[in-house]
Amino acid sequence: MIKRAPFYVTGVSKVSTGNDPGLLQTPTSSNATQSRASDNIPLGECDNEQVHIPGAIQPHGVLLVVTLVDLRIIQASENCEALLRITHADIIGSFLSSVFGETNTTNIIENLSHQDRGNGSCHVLRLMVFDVAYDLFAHKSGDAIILEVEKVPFNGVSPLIDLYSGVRLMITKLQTTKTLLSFFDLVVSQIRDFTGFERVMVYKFLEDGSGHVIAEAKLASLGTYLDLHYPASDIPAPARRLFALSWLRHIPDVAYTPVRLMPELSPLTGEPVDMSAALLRSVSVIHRQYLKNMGTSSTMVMPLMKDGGLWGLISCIHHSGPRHLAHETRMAAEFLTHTLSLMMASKEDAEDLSYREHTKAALFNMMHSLTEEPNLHKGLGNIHAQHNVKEFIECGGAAVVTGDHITRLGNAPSERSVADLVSWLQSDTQVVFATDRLSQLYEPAKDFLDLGSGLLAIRLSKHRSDFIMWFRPEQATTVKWAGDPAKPVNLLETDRDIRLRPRGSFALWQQTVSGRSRPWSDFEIKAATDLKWGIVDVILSRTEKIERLNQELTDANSELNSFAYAASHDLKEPLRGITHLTGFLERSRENTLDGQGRSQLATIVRLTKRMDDLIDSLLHYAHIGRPDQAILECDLDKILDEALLTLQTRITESRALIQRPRPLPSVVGDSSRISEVLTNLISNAIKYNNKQECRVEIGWKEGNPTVFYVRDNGIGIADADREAIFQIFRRLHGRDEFGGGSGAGLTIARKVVQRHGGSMWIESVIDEGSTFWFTLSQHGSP
Amino acid sequence: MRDLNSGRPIVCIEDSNEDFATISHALRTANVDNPILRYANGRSAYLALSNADQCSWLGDTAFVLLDLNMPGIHGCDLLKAFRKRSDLALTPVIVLSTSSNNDDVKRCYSEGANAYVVKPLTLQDFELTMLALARFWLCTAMLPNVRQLTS
Repeated sequence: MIKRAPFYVTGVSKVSTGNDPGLLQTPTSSNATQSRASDNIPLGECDNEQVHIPGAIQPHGVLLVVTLVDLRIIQASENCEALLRITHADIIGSFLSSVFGETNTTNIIENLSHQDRGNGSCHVLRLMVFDVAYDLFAHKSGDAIILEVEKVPFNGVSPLIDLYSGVRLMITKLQTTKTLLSFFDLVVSQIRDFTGFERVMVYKFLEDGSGHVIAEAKLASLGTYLDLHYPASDIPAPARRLFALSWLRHIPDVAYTPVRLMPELSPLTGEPVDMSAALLRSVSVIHRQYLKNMGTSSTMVMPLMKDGGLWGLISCIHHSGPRHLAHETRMAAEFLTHTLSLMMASKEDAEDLSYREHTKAALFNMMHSLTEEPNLHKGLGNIHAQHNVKEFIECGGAAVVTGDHITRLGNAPSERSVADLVSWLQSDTQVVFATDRLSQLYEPAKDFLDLGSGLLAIRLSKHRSDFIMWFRPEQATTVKWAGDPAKPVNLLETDRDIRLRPRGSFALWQQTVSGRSRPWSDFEIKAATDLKWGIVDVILSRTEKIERLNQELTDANSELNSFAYAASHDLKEPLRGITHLTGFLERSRENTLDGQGRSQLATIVRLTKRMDDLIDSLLHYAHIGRPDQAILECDLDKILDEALLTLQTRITESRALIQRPRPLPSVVGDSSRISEVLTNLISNAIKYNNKQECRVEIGWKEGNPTVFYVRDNGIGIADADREAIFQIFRRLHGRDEFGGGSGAGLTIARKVVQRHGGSMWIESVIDEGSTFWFTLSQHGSP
Repeated sequence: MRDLNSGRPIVCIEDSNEDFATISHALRTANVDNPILRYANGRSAYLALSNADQCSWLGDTAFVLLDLNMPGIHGCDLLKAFRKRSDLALTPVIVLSTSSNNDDVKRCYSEGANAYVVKPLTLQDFELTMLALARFWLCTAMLPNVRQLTS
């Protein structure tokens, strides 16, 4: 099937350089006007073709150039005789009034004076010449008036009132459509009903200047153009500018023979007349050839504008033969299109707006959950949460990366791929990185085109590899072009010149575009950046909060210290008083006290002594929590020697056998406190032992970190008691069983270990013995 | 007890009546018959000691027994006040405290304490401690003669 592009192309610009002539630039030579003489254009001159000064008009009307000063006709098209029954030679030099009469002339001038120059040619009156109706249009061009006399077509003239209610009904219907696409679907079908063209399309310009047919209404028998792409060169930049300038372009019969304007150059300026606003203006030869090659008989094109720029076109095409629309219908179409531009802008903005609203709400909610849950992975990367980074921006998948921790959401590349990507991104210092063709910048991305052809990444920290990433899959793997986009023109070599012709074939040409995703919009990039600063804000305020908590903790600690300090004094003082008074009592009543009385006094002294010990232990425990450790490298073997020396008496008394299979290594820590750990563990091992021969073994195992142990053949500890033994003053046995003690030894030992970043745990079998394991540094450190 | 420094007063700054009773008892038990002057709270002691014009006889003090934790004013601040007075700058100050906190110990020595003693719990230990103190500071140590210095 042959697809044909339907568009209004008024010239061929040099595709590679895009060196467009300025709109109002006057021609540098008169060569441009020669184009009408030949169907082929010398290659060297195509750049210079002035699309708005063709020097000729279409034959369905007459064009007259009239001086502003004295309203005398100075130029006329050669077809005067056919339409007005007076030759152009005769008409030139006449006053306007002598041709159209005083009344009409006054009306023309009257209407013209109201005209805003920017609005182009204006309908000034309808008149009958020899029973034929003509519409007169006029506009100023420099010091001249360009007057166009167009024959009113027989068909298609609807009473204005019908047109008005039709347009009004359309606008009402259009207002109720939800999306931009359904809006355009309705637009094209309504315009087709209204104008009677066989095909009506909406053609949208893409960023690279190429066009894309996004909506179409047509005769059922015609092949569709929907979704076709047209290369930028089909409607070159100068033509696009002209479209933006006029509200409607109509070529009733593409196969027309151009009519020359005589004389060629304006007697006023000596240059070709600027006909850019003329309705009858002839289009370029190349464009007509292009339209013919496509099998187009008649066209009408209206620009869709947004924010002052050309957004797209509404293109109406007749294939079966010429179609000339009357001024009223054209005006209605023009008005409608203008209204559409305004409505479309608000429709498109509304679509954008709902995305913006969504993003705004998502950002707010994510920031909220991040305040509650500072972990980025949990706060932003929870796939079950209503708002997570994947829902934030339209994407296939997303990833939250902090250091080695990667959370993937949706269809994101593998963890390995993301990690590699992070190392690559690391070298880039930009806060935001966005591409719709990652694999062109980063070779390994070729492995996951289906997931991450597009990447949007924000960097959260200058120094750490913390990123949030969004991935978009490869999109629209096939672009349907109307003809080969690389060959918009044919070169013909003739005897003298290389000549250019628009392409003759519009056969569907499919281009496979690989490795590209839907591009990230400015808005999305901005949203991502907002998220970055939002996260930074939350992290900062969290840091502040941590600092505040730290300060509070320091205060609380120092309060606790002074409390412990005060307690020691305030609790001990009365204790001492009790003891001393008991002593006085014992001595002064020495002779009167019986055995029971003496024993009771002795018990008082013993209990106060015990209470004194408890207070000391408590103080000691509180003291260990203080941040004043002396952390140095020390020889654990020597520390053990000292600990054993401290325990000498007890070891001798219990006849315990202390074993050290091999010397202990050096450790980094507070030697006096580590010594306490060993002393407590060893004395514990000796104390809770019911065996004939008490054995205690102190050893270590290489590892990361090194693990130390104190093993005994004692009474063992039941599983249920393994935590209880570490609680301060908690005893599993009677006070005086196993030699008593304050009950703080293991608590203190474990606290010291924890203060070093290590941990302590137990392996034990009841009645066989226990092994206390401990480390003196964090996991992962030597 | 043969007393090198007989007659010179012993100043005791102690807010606890029980502790002061034990101290006096222990000193008497140790045959110390020097007069014992007690300040029962830190504030009154501070007022008396911070002004050199008051209590000029204090210059004759054999030694001071100073409790550390007293309501109102800390023993260390009193120590500072002593050391500012010319007639008490050289007088031995023995800190008697419940606290065995190393920070307290260091602070007292750096402020010029001559000894730091933790109050023993039992009466017997207390008596032994006081006896040792009295023997050393009254019979063994040579004290500066402040009167001679100032006259």
